[in-house]
Amino acid sequence: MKYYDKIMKGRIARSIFRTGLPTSNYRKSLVILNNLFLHIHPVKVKKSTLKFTSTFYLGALSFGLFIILVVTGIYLMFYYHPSVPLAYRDMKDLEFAVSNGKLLRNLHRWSAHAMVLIVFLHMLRVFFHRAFRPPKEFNWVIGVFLFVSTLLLSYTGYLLPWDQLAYWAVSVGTNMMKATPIIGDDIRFLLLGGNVIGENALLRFYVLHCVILPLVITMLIGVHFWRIRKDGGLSSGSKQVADGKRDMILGKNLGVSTEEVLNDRDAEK
Amino acid sequence: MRDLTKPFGIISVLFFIIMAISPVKEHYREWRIYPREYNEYIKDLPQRITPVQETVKQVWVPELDVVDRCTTCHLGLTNAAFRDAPQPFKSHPEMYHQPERFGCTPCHQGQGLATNVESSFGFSKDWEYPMFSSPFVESSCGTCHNEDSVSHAPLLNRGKELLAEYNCAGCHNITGIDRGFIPSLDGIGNKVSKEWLKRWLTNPSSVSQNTVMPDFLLSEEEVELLSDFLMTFTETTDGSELDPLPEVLKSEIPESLFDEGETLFRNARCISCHSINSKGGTIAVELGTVASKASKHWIYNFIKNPSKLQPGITMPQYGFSEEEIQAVTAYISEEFIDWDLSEEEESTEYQTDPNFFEKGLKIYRTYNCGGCHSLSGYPVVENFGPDLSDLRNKPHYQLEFGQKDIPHTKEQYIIGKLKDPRGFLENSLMPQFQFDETEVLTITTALFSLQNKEIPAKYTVKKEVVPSIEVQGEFGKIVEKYQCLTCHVIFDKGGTVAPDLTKSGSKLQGKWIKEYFKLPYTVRPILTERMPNLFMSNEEIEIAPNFITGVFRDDELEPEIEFLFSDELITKGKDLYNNTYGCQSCHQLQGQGGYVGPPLDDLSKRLKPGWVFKRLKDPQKYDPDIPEPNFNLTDEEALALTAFILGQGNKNEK
Amino acid sequence: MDNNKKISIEVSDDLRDTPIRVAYVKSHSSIAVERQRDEEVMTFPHLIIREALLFQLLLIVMVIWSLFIDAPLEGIANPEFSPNPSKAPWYFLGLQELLHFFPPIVAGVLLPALVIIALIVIPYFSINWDRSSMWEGNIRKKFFRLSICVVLFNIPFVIYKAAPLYVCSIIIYSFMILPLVFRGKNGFMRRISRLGLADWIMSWFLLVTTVLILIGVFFRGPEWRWIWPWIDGIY
Repeated sequence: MKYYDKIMKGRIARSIFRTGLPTSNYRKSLVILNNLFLHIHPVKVKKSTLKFTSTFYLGALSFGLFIILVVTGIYLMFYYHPSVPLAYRDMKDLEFAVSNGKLLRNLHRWSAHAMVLIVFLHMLRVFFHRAFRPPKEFNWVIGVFLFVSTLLLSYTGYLLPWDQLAYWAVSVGTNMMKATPIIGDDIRFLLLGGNVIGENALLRFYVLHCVILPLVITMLIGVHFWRIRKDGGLSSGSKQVADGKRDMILGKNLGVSTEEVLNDRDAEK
Repeated sequence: MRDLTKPFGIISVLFFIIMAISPVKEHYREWRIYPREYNEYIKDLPQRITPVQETVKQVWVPELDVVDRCTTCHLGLTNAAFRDAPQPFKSHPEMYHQPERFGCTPCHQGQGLATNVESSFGFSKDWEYPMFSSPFVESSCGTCHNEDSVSHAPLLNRGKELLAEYNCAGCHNITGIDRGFIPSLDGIGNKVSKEWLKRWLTNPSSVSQNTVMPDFLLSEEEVELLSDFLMTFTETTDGSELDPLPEVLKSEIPESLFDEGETLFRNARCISCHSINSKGGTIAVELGTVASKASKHWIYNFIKNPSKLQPGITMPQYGFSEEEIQAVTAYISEEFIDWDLSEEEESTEYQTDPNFFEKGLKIYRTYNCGGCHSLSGYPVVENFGPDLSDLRNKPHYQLEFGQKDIPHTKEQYIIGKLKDPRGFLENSLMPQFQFDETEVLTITTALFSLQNKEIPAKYTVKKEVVPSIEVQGEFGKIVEKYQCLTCHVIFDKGGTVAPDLTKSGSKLQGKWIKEYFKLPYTVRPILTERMPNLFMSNEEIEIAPNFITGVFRDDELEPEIEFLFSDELITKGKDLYNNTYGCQSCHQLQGQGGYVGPPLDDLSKRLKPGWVFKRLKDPQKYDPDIPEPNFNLTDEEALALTAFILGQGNKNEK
Repeated sequence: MDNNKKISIEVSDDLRDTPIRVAYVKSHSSIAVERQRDEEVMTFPHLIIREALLFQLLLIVMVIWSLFIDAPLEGIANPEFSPNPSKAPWYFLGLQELLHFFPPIVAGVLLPALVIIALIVIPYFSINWDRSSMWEGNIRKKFFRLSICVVLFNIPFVIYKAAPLYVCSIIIYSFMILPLVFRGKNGFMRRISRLGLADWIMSWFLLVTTVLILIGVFFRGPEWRWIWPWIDGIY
């Protein structure tokens, strides 16, 4: 402990962690304020939102899965060629020759599936807790776009292994696209870079999956988080409405407690 | 707020443990374990062998699209010191291709990219080409070697032969194998009785044991309809009726005629090609019970002109006179009767269906009878069974195993299909063949060699396509009439039973050929097939030898050497024959010697000295398959031996 | 807008049933909610430690899952041989299942577009979501309205024989009217009776999505025929 203190108070450590050890509340708030990655958080949070049942941490889980996907995805990109005979062989190489390749591919694949599910559950949670009420309407809309982006990311990634499963799953999807009136065929052509799923389609899906959609989703996530802060933090749902000590008040915070109202009523009687 | 520091600590420890599992597993992967074991193993070997590194090794052949990592674990593959080593270090028995140039999977299949046992050898959803079980490896030879006969691949060669023999191409599209001989059904109404046809259709092999015709498992009604349908065809292929049966054959046959027929049958050496009760040649059909099958009328016409009744048949048109034909017919129709056949065929009341023709035709088409037989006016229905030309790469999910309780592998599927064609799907139409166990294995091997995949030309061996030269003119007519090409080869075309005649003009003396046609004798007594007496006309006997000695020549075989057989030369030749080269160990001469080669007596009248000389110098040059050793004789030695064989050796003196 | 209207206080004997509110709601606007400031705690360490813990647990679960179950991989893509059935990824199997019932333009374009639009406009509905629960006021009138709406809504499904859809509607509808039949005072009935129309619609969407995906994943075989996964296996 002595050495630990010495190191943490030393010049080098202080140059890195400016705040020093978070011993006081002031220092604790500096941890959040001074850190690029943590400063999206407020210094203080409502106690009720930390309760597991108020959010089930679904948003955090979604973001956690996104981080896993980015990291494993970058690793996979080192070994992957978006070209027709090689793409499939790279899957085999990941399995048979690359260190931990199989684990990382599995992790990427399963995390992608899990993310679709968790994001959907997150949306349901927000809906049933009515956490989209003003002023958070637009954040809900961003959330819907995030859900769509998640689906698209997962779907574009589905083609990349270039196996039968990928190929035919994507054909089913892109054939559905054809049904769109007037522009259906054009959209499909644009997405596939041709009329059939081939090398061009693989390249386009690769670019979408590894560049465009991750950029889009990262920006949307940023905005989503930012607006949570700006809209007054997480809302933990309407359940508290009934059993909380203070009732919710419309418009301005009038600070009227139910007890006071009941007392008044009793007094009237 | 609950303090979570402690749970956080515990979970963190757990977290790091879990994260370490995969890197630790990495250390124990099979491709690391086997090199380690190898390095342990070589310590005990007497030879000094350099240890290997724990790395993935691979053979990469871009042209064949092969990346094989087999050598990562099979480390002693090319090293004779590992002949008795345990797997995976054991050396490869005999290798016909270097693994560095070809990899392993082009022959063995299996997943070359894999680095663990299960994935390399086995079948999985992502790898449909598991390693071949040992008999089928030969099929891989056939993917690049398109010759008719691939050396070191007896199963494949036999399988291909069987594919042709059973005329599988009649119903299936098989690359490299054409639809085979098609026995015409024209005139069948005049040839056989309906009773016989019914028995035949019910189960062909019960009538003729060695028939290649499979059992179509027809129902009784189908048999009736199809027989009625076929019995309506009485005309020959060219549309004419049969010649009328001579009076003498219609009634009781005189014994003298029968005896004459028997003698002719023997002289013509019919049993060179035909078997009688399973004894005799195998080139043509069994004759033991032919009289119970074919009518007298038909036999008479057939001997008279075989190819009129059965176009494309290999039977020669013997030069019999009218009376001789009658005699042979008399003999055959009296002698070869199936006595086991019950006299009273139970003729159950069968009401002939008024629409038998349409219904019969429908059955004829349903079972694709036209795939193997021709019937004028009802052309061949093109390949009607599944396409087999890419069987090796047929996707696994296209194999319908149905309710069949066998391992779901392609090998087992093909084996099962050959043994029990209708066992997989109820509506399957494939007939039941009489394959024995070996035939099933060989055919499976041949089928596995079928694939459409493009293989770079430098890796393939093409089937030699020789532009066929038709023999024209008078001699051409003789060749056709006597079907010489059934047994002999002329200009790279014909059967392999008897010697190639293309260069026989340089080999044989014209006078001898003439004598031979008059009365053929056996040059090689150990062979079953003998040259039949074709009863050629004198005119033909004049034409043929002239043509042979005039046209079938090769200047190379006629060296400009003056062959003067002096006694000195003959003595020297005798010494070479008996002592230096020991020719008598294989050849007979004056009743002494071995039986491997043909006897060398009386060759002076038959062979030309130039041919003997050249042949002695380089036996394989003219017949690559001949077992005669090449002694690298000098001109002088060859000359001496020629002199001895053709001159002195045949003067019948000690 | 008449701003002089008196603010009235809703009063009831049962505090749990009718929480006391002081409300001033303009018509055609939804309510903005602002809670009294809660008790607050320091983000560091309380939230940060929870986030770290959560991430660790997540990674542990994902890594164990990935160690034991391999990601699917089949043979190399071959445009000439289509597997039977060809299935989309599981999250699109609901759509693929709809494709079985409806023409492609409906199942592949119209319905997904409607769903996304519906999701987007949810917060902009100018109705007060929680103003009243389902069965308050003129119950008879509400019941008839609801029933007619449900019937009209499901007619297309019945026409196209989309059984999963109208069966789900029937299930949700029966749960909706359950409190009318059993006017129980027990917890479950009360809870159901308090759900608003929006909740019911979302529940219907959730049920339909789940059912369609489950059918697509487990109960569909070659030629999109119905199969039983425990007999024919999962395709």
